[in-house]
Amino acid sequence: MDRQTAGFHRATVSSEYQVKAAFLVNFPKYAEWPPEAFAETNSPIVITVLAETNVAEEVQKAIRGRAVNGREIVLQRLASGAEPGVCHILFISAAEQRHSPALLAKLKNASILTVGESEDFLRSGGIINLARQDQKIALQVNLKAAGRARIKISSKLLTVAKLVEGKEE
Amino acid sequence: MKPLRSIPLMGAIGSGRGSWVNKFWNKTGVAGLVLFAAGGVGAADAGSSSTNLLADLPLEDLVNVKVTSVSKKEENLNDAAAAIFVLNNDDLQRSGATTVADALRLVPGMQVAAIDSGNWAISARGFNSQFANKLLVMIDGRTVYSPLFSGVYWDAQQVFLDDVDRIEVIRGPGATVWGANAVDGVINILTKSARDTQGGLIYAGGGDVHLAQGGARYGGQISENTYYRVYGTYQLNDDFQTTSGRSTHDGWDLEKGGFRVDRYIHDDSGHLTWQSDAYGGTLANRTGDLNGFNTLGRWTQRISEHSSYEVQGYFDHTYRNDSLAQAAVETADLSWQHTFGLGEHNDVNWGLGYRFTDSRVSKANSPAVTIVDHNVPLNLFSAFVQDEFKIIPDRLFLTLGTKVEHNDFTGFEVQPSARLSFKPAENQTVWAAVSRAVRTPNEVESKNIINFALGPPVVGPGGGLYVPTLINGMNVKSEVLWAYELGYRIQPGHHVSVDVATFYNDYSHLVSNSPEDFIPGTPVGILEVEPFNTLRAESYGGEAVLTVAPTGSWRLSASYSLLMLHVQGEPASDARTLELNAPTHSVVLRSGYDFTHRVSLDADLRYVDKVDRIAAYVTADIRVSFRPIPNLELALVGQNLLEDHHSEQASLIGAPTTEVPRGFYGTIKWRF
Repeated sequence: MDRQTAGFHRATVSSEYQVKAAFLVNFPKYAEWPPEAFAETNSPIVITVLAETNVAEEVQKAIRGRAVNGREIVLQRLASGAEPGVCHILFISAAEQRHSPALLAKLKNASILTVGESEDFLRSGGIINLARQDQKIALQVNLKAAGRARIKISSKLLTVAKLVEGKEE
Repeated sequence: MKPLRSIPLMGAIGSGRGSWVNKFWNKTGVAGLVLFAAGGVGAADAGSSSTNLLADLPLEDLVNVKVTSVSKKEENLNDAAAAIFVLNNDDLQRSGATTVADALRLVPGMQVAAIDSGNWAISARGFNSQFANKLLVMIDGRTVYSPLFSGVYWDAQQVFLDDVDRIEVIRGPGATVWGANAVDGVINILTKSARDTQGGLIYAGGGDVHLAQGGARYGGQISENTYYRVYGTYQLNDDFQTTSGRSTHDGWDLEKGGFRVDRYIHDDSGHLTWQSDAYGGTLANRTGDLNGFNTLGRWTQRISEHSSYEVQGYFDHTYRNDSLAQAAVETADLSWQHTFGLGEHNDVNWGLGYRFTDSRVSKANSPAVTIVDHNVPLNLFSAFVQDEFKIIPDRLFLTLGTKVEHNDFTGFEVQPSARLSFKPAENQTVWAAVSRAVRTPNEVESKNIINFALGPPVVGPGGGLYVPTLINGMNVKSEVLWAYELGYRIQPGHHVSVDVATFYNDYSHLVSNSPEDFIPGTPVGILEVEPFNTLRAESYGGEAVLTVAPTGSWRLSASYSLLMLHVQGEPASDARTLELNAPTHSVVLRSGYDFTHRVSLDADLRYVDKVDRIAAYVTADIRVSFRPIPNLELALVGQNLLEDHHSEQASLIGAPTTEVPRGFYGTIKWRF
């Protein structure tokens, strides 16, 4: 069932997934993938979501018409139990978190910025967790996992993050 | 890399409001990947989508944006094997309606007819009248269906419209879950959690029909996971007039206030709610009055992904002093629900409930009413169980269930249903349902509470005069419906959705009033008229809704409802009246357009076929809204614009037929 998202009526408070979607489409500006992650210089950045429809819709709305460094952003939706194909950011919603340990283990060495929203997401090898803290969304980052995926996370992102794990690596 | 197929599946959706299209679009990727790309999607007005605006923010700002909650698991409407329609908060705001009753006019298949300024006949799929008794209505899980007369006093059911999350409307029976009297429809009015109504809101306005309206709400935080809101509202509505221009003295006002506290525990797995409202007002140009209060507590606890339980209790008091009588009803209700997964393929939902109702009629305000017994206490015990069986996961579902109730009128009632839902493709659902529902007798029909004179005296045996008087029928049974429904939903294109629901209803034991005995008396005798289950009915028809979003900032919808109803039995006059009191055809056309993110125009056009003693009518409403800054909204609303006035439904208690006038009002709303 869809929740109302009457943006301009409620300018001061936004739905959780509107904000999370905004984070997702912002991440390409703050992350650097190894060159082999893209076939061509203008290949799109693929955001894959394993999430409910309303969450996917929010991401789609946030993406609309956006490009980063000449790369179009496209959304791909993953069915439960399926594996992503070409993909740069993978978001696993709380409702799908039971799939995340297996999926994260499988994608351990792929250059995919994995994003989740559950307490143990970083522990299972995820790179960024969107944690809800005090009515806001806090960023938690696992640099070790990012290193394994050969993804560079910009220092700007790390300064606003509430928690950064594996800094020494 | 492989080129991605560009499927602009969701182009129409993102206009920054809860879209109708959303709910017709599917949840589950059935066949592996579902791809959709952003390039060239739709012609969305970036300015009108809040998400787009948020996505423009740098990370350091995003981490400071306050968020509301989206509940973790909500039923996907598209998969539901029932004729469901939802008015969300945005639909309500854009409708320009000042009452819940008027907002329901926009719901496909709902029959909403004003009897006067403060009384409505509201039902679905027929049997609509001032005493429409086959529609169950709940506000945040609390029933507002009166056991005294079987129906809803709509003037008392005002809510703070800005804080309504959604109004869910189910056409057709919902008795397996909600119990008796959910025969032709169920309406659930759900207000938002206090967590989602933080901050202040003030509105004020007025016009020529809705003379004055105003309200304020403030929401804050008590502790880290505990939120509250308090609110107060007021509205004053003018008298309507008869065709000849005489005032019908039916103006009314209502003041209402209340609070809601929501506490979340264990990372949102537990949710405690406590809410209370109190209201008071005057009726019929201050000759009558009403008041009431209620308090409700609910605890929902998620145990695992497939398992949760809910405990709810409430107390409700209503008092009404109108042209017929002075009556009060007290209700105490306690219920328990548990949902759990059984194996891989079954989700079981079961519950128990107990309700105590005490009705008191303390004074007769009309010579037509004679009080027999001042006080009628009633007990209702209920249990239900329902299993959703995933025959083929994501494709074929069967839901079987039944409610078993014991009431003090008719004893045990069993209300089972079977619902099948099939998804031939990601964007389509076919559903079918068979269900049984009952309308239990009310206290006037079946308990010795009041006798009611139905009309002027008639000449009886021996040439004496006898007043036809409705007495209680000790033998009156429940009215029974067997409903057969078939529905289909599809999103054929990226901007289009279609929802069709059809039904065949077989009613038996419908109550009529049969003249029985002449009791002599001086100066006049009584002709006892007793309710009996003498009528049968068959109805068929359906509702079709087409929604089109040509651009991201424009939504159009058209809905058509058909109702064919045949009532048989004696007395034939009662059968005929039942047949005539709901329209055969009705049409609602709506358009919502955002010129910019500051200016919106909403319009609707409604056609309602003739009903008993009332001609068919066409009318239109328009709302223009202007938001000079994000927190301030000015709106101008014109209602029933096409004629000076029109009538919609005749009164059943002998009052003159009133005319719904054309009206205008303006409001100003400020959030902080």
